[in-house]
Amino acid sequence: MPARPGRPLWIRVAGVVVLVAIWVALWGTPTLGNVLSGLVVVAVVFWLFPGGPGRLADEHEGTFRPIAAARYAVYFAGALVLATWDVALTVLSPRSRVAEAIVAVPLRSRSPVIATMVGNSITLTPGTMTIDVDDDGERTVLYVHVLNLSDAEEVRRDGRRFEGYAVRAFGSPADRDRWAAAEAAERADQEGRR
Amino acid sequence: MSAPEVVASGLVLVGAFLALLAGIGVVRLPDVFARMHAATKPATLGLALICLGAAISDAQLSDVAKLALVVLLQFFTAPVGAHMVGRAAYHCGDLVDEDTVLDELAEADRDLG
Amino acid sequence: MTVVADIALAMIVVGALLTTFRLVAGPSLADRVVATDLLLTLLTCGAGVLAYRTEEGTYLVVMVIVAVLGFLGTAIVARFIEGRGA
Repeated sequence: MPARPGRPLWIRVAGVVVLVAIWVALWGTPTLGNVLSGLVVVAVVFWLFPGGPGRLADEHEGTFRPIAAARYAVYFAGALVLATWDVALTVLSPRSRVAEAIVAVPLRSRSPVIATMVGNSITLTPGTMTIDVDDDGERTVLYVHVLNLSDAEEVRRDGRRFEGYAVRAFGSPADRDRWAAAEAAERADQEGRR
Repeated sequence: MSAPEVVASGLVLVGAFLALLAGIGVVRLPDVFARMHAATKPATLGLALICLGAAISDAQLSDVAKLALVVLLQFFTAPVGAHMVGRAAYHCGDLVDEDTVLDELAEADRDLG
Repeated sequence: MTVVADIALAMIVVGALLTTFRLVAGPSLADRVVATDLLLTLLTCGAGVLAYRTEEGTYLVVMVIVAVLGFLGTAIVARFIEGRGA
């Protein structure tokens, strides 16, 4: 593989391992033939797409914390179950529970990976669905369609909670710093009010 | 039936019920966006439960791996699909005005345009 | 196990029939795209139930392919709607 500045070796190796694992999973058993054919296929893929699946700007390069990621997964799973329950109730009595709205949810992070993860998670949570993203170079804003709006601020708060989990699990150092700074500012704000 | 069998059967039944729920939702709900809510959430969870049930009942590593792959694919593609269709539908004016309580995207569009 | 699979399949089929109604009724192209996407997801669910019932691995590969292609189709039509408007 051609040398690519800025992308550490272990990430490239991990990429290859994940792709070969998917290939082997599709074939079933991890026999030597499957693994070797997987390596060949992955080599062809990387030859065809030398840049890999697209480069993130260096400051967006994320870090992975497994424990935080596990917490994110658990929160996400719970939210998905609640979401489905919510849809069930709405479906059974459509007219009374529908008050549609589109709420703007500004994110603190700038990384597109975080935006994607939070956007996807919001779609799979009760009553909300991301339908647009606005990244105008200054802020990233998600536009979320809400099925039954009671409080726009609550939607934003839920989005921020997801973002918190995501940043702590996958965020780049720049985003983590931004997150920590924003949290500190909010705490100071609350202290000041008391 | 052994305990894992019972659990697997339960999961498959609940999953199939959620699939049915998605179908009902798509017919009953009043507009495109609401229908997307119904098409993505119960269908994704339903598929996940069915796959989990099949994985428990089957318990061979190769099959479990494939099922895990399917669930992961669905989790990533379903919301993105809804996002793309939702965005397209919004810009086509499919949002019904009487039902809509608040529209911050329109305000943002107005600010920009 | 077979009884469970039969009940599950019946539910999925009913869901698919309802979705087909939406596919025909519309009214907009977006509605039909959502219906198609759901139909494919239901197909994947049905294949999953069959995999559960027969314990055969073939259905699983079908599920993966349907999941990927379904998403691809939805994405393409979504782009089309955005460009053309329907």
